[in-house]
Amino acid sequence: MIFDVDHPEWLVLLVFAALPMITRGYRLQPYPALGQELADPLSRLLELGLRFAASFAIAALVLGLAGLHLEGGSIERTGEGAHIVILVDRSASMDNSFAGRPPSGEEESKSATARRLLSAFVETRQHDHFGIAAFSTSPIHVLPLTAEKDAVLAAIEAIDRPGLAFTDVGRGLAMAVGMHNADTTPAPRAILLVSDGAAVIDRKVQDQLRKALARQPVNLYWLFLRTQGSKGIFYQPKPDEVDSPERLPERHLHKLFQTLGVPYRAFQAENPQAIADAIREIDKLERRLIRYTEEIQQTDLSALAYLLASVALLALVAAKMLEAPALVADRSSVRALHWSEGRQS
Amino acid sequence: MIRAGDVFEEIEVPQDLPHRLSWRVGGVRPGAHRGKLPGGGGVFRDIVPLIEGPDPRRIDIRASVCDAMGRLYVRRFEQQSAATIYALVDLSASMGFVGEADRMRTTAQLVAALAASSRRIGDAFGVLGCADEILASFDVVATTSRAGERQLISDLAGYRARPQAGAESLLTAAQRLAGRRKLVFVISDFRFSLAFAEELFANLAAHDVVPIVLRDSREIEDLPDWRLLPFYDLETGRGRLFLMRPALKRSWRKAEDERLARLNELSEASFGSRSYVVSSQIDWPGFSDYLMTGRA
Repeated sequence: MIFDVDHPEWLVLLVFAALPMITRGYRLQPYPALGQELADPLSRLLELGLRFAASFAIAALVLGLAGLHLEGGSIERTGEGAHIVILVDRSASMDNSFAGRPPSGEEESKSATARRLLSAFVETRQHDHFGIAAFSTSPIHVLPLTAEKDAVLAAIEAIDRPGLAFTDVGRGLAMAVGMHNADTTPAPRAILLVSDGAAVIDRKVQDQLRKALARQPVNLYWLFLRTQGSKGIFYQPKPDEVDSPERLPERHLHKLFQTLGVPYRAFQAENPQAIADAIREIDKLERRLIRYTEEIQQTDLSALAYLLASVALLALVAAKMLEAPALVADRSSVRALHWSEGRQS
Repeated sequence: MIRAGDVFEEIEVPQDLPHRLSWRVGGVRPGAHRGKLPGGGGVFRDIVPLIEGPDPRRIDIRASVCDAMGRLYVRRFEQQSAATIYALVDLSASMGFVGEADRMRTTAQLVAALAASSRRIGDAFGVLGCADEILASFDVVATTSRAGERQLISDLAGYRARPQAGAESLLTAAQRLAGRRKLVFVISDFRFSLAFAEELFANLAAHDVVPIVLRDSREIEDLPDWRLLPFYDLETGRGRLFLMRPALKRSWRKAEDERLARLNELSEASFGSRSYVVSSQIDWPGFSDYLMTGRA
């Protein structure tokens, strides 16, 4: 809470606020003697109140003229949350339903479900920073880590645009880690990978990922939207099956993540309810201590100042109207009256 | 009614303010009051041997015949003597108050009436106008002369007190009055401390003192209700705001009554007589009545 003014030169006029303390706004009438026995505490209080009201009115008007406002800015607070980069698969298959075909009737595409639930997730997280990256054939930098909820929600809103064919998880992850690197504030970090498929990650990319994650440890969550008939993350190949990344990319990607040396959890969801459960679980897990800054908007107080000044001025006007007219004529006028009386008689 | 003063200040006062003194006047000048000297007056005083009172016109036959030694006696009568009357006028700032009545005008009226009536019965009349010091223009030694009287009264009526002037010289004036017993009117609003009044009365203890307290209905009774009244104290110049309301008026009334009661008490203790309160206008019959009978 820092007060500031637009035109500080007006503040010079604040000296006039002292005027009511040394002068009076009413005409004094003579009274023979005002001894202690005539003192009246209520009147005394009223007089002080009127002086104060006058001072206050002047000060408030000057502050209004000077454009008093509350300084905007940011304060650092501590809360629960994390900096999370949501890495979304934009491959064409995301536009299909969980049954693996274009959504029809009341069905919902995987990307639409993800969008809906992620939006809800983002809304519930008060102090998180979110970054959004998408990947298909190549990674797309959507939104850097930011606390601006509106931007994040808009970015999530945009993830169910029709996608492209391929799924380049490796470079997508690299971009996500890069986004974390670009964010300098100290905070617990996480990457939420949302995809419905996996791909083979190049050895070179694997090494890069390992190095990057060693420098910038993040919690890694993989929300795998399993389409019907897909093998899934936890598929154990039969003894006669060929266990190669090309044949079982999900299983191998899972194994790779497990060896990255960062906390990692995988969620496999076959339907919207399972996604919701998974997101709730992530919500629970990502409650770590975070320092965040809260942005405060500049608040204009000049209107308030004018309002208070008018209230004080109204009180003063009321007092003025309550002031008694001169009770006794000036001595000189009394004499003149006598003189004219003398003339007439 | 006669008129004193000039055209500029018409002051109407009654022709006479009869007053009776309960004490014997000490002066040698013949006048209208019971005196201490034997003389040609009408009231029998005593019988003394002719040797002591060598006035053969007043030989008391009966007393002389009754005397076994054959001495001659004469009757003596009281000499009616003139009294000396002074008006001590408070000219402090608070006397400049103009309410229902102009306080200085009321003062001038009183002084004019006293001057007129005292002259009519041959008493000497003097005035001492007292502010911070006795003012030269209102310092009139008691005489029977009328010289300057009109001017004095007109000056009094038109006098404007110096702001914040006090009444300290009342004490000096009281000391100046030392000597034979006099009738002293103290004309003031008595807006000073009771201790000061006490000291003043002590200084005047040798005289017959009539404290005349000037009040005005604009001081309390005629003030408007539920109004803001910014007053300044004529004596100190300090301003104060009052929210005038019936309750405050009652409390002021109470304070005023208390002040007057204590002043009365003090007056009775010092002079054996009450003070006279003038509320706004002077009630002349009431004042005469007070002077004749009401003081005892």
